[in-house]
Amino acid sequence: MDGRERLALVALVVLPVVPLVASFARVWEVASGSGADPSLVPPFWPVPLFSRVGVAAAVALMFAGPAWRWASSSPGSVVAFAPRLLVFVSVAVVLQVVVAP
Amino acid sequence: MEETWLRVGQAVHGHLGWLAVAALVHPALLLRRPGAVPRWAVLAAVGLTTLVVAGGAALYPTYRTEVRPGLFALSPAAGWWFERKEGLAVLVLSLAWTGGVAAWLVGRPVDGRTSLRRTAALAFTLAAVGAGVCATAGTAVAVLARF
Repeated sequence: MDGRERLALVALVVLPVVPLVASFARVWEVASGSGADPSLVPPFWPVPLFSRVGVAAAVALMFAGPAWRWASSSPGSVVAFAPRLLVFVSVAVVLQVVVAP
Repeated sequence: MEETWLRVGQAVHGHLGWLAVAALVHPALLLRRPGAVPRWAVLAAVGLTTLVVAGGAALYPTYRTEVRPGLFALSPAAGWWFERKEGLAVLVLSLAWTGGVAAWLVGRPVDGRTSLRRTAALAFTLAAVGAGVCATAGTAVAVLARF
């Protein structure tokens, strides 16, 4: 397994983390009151979608180190885990956008 | 003048969105059959999805200040559906790229039991369903409110 393949395995684990964290950042945004009424444009939170995705991308990058070690030590288990992660993330994000869009 | 460009951007974004749905369905179906990985279909699906999401992101700040308040005043249900579309669009982009990465790994040494082919097909299938919901919601909202 070369470096590019290892990086691709890391991406299989890290990429699905972005929408999951972004969707839960929206729950936090609603709970904090800053995004509770989307018809308003609060000046202190200029572009909520971008900030959510930005936070999510930063959190996802934090997973990159452990994911790299996991991909190095047990690539087969990363491959086996990937489809379950996709289903889990999709269900979680869909539930979240239905509950707190 | 700027308003015209925003309308053109909205129309292009909407049409490309439906094209992206079709482009995502294509590798989802092809990857379920044995044979060579459909590299061009995968590239088209990932590229078109990325282009559509980037276009939506470019339109988003203006939508938020100029369209959204009016949309919520007109129909809160439609406004909330557009909010849902935002969250789903991030999921679709992530799934498309995950599908692309999994398809790239198919047949390589790490792909021991061809499970990455199934993973890629699953990712593109989920992305296509999500993109279909996004495109439907976007079209419905475009009927109600425009730039």
